[in-house]
Amino acid sequence: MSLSPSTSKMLSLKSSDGKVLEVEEHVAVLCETIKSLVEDGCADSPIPLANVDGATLGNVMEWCKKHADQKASADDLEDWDAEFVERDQGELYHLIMAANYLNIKGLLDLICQKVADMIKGKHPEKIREIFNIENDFTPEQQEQIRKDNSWAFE
Amino acid sequence: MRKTVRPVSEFALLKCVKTCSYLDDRISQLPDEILVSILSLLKMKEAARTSVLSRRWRYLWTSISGSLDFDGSRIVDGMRMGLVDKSLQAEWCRFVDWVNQVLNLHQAPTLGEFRVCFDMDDKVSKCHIDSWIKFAIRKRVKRLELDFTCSPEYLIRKNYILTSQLFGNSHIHSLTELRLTCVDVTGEVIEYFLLNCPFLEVLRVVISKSLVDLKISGPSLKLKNLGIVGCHCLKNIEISAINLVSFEYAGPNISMLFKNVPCLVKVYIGGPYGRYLVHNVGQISSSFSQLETLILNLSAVSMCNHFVFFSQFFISLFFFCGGGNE
Repeated sequence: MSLSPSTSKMLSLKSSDGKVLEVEEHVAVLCETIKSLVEDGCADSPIPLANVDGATLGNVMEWCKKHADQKASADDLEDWDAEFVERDQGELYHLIMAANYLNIKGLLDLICQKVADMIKGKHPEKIREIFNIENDFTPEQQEQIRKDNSWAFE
Repeated sequence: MRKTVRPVSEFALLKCVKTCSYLDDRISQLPDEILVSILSLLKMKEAARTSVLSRRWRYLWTSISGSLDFDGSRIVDGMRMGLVDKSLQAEWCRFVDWVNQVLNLHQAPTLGEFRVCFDMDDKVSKCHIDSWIKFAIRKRVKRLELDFTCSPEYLIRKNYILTSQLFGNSHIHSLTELRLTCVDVTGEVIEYFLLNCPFLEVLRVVISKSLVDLKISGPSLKLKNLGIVGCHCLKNIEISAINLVSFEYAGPNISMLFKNVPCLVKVYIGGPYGRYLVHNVGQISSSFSQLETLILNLSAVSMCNHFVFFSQFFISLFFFCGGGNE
């Protein structure tokens, strides 16, 4: 990163519900979307983020702040990340959408991995239960899919 | 809802609970590309099992770009040990159908890994294997592994022959790892890969009967790990690879020449060549000045008898092992 913490100025970010967050520029530019705005000189103050609510923006910036900290070791970050993703599904959903919108690959990968771990090693019935997925197949259709992909259910 | 207390039928209550809880199905509301990224982190079978969750999930798994891993080794091992009472022919048909079915469904433009592991020979399997490799290359695969291990009859069976003609004009430069077991490749074919895969970091060839002369060289080879195992017709190996970190060789006595391997720190030698080397230290010691770890397997039968030591003890331990072997 070219911007060091000592020279970093503050950016104002405005969430979809009108909350304004003051964030150091070197932290905010972990979001590629914001970085492009800053680089193109289009970073109006405050920068409107129409797809991210205030609470989620706070969480996202907390992650960015930790990951912009050059003193944090890889092990430290890993432990911190593991704790960071211990959230309910609603929060994870908003974080994943925000990470996608703000284009933060590290955060997106982290939460995708968390969701994949929630699916891993579980039967379809259990996955439906965990995520409240409605089974909209008829029993016949379901049987047919299992038959077509029988190798996956062995 | 809590304000009005009035009796409701069990059915109505159930309906309400259902409606409310299904509103919370957040995961199915994620965009396709994110769901596919999540599924790409799972094993192929696990990803495919999500097809049964709901209509939303029916075909998502066919876009995974992580790994297509067709591992039939358990069934092959089971049959070999007499644990599975099935004919190889029937299992072969099932296996080929499985691979072909998944490849037909697969939608993603790229693929991290393509792995096929089953008892396949050159006679009946050839056209299928050809089409699978072409598929993987078309998907710009990074890690390609063909493991056609079979029973000890491999000495009489005809291995699948991999030729460079198969690739025609298609680009294979996405490849970073290539692992071949019981696949016949010549030195020329390996040179073709080295020339056309500028990012190739891992190359492992196990039991290739047509490998005689192997020359690993090139001005900008990225190759870090090289393994040549059980290639019984091999006569010469010449290696000049500036990024090579580890080298594994197990096989017959051959002429081995290291020219430019400044990063080579780990070497494993086994088979007859390992036993030969004990008495002929001078053959390679001068090439290995920067070596940190040498693992020598001097046992004739066991593959687990490893000797580990460091370069400063290189010469003395060689003699020690040699003494123990006599």
